Amino acid sequence: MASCDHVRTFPVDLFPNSTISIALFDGIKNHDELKKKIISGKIDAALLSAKKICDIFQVLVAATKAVGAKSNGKLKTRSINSEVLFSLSPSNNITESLRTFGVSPSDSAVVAVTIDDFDGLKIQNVAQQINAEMKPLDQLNRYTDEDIIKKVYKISDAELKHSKLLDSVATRIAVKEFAT
Amino acid sequence: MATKPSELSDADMIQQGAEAKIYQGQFYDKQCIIKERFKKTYRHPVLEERLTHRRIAQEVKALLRCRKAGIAVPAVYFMDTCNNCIYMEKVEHSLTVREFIQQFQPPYTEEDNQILRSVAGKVGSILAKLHSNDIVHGDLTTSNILLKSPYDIWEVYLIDFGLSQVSHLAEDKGVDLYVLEKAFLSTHPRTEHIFEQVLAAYSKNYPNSVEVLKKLEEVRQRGRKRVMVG
Repeated sequence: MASCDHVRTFPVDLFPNSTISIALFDGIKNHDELKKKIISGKIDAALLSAKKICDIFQVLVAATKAVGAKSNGKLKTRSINSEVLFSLSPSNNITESLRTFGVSPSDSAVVAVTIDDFDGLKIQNVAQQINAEMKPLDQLNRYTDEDIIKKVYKISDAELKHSKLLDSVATRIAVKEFAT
Repeated sequence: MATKPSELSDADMIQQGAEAKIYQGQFYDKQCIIKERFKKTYRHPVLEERLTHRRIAQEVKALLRCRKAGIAVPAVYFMDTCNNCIYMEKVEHSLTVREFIQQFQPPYTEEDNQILRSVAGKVGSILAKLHSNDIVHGDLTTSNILLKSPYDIWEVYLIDFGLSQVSHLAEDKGVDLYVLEKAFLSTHPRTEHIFEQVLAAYSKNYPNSVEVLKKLEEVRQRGRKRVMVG
């Protein structure tokens, strides 16, 4: 069985009955198979392209937003998992968001996110199906591609003179529906 | 359902204004400021909801617009739309311009003046940037401008955009400066020479400042309300 030592679970303060669990995997090869499993719902998790993640906090901001939408009955996508992907995206187009932030054949590393995974079974199931090695979360930065992040979130160098990349990203996620 | 900030301990509340309560809290590993626009029971519920929603939208839109323009503003971490709360970055190691000026006692020494003028210049050039991006703050006071240390570098942060708007009108920008001038000179007596430095840096860094300063002069004569209808 895959080791789950590297999974981290965060209680959501704002929605006290919810948790967000995050794990990092590297060395994915079975992209086509994974895609089918995600679509058929055999994987109950959001799988994010690790390149576009600069910090765990970025994932927490998006996942908290998704948990909030679910709790208010305002999910914009079909499941909490796709909602995590959608929340992560600055775009209001669902298909585009899932394509941009989901796993694509060019990704070797993914960040897996499970919501309310109280017994850890969901992430264990991911670990079994994903056919890749689980890595410690603090290695996340090795996979980050800042240039892609700046491009996807439209962050200029002028902005980064006064802001950390993470703050720029978090703000765009948080205020997305007001940013028109 | 999200925990209502009103259920947060009152000890966490650090400020209460007419429009909002400000709490200090935490969002995961980050220290944050929570701004709650509380319900006004004297207003019609539908009007109340629309107004509150619009103000929150105005505030975060301005924060994003400033950020994109390269003006230092707090990051936004979360919007609790049910409870009308904005969770934002706490600007660490900072003090308000008000606190900063109050560290000095008039009569100012030449050294004091030099320091105060240099900070005033920084504020002026940030306001120039703000207005050249057509953002009008709406409530400029020395408490809504923060200085982040290290000392000598003093990065200028603008906060509290609840009354802000996007406008290209010299009139609106003139009123923005007028509001600050009033607040500045009434909070800090005998600082005319320092406020002058704010305006000097403003005009140096903003090509359209001539028109705005002309408006400022007009507004000084008549007060900030222009339209006298009704």
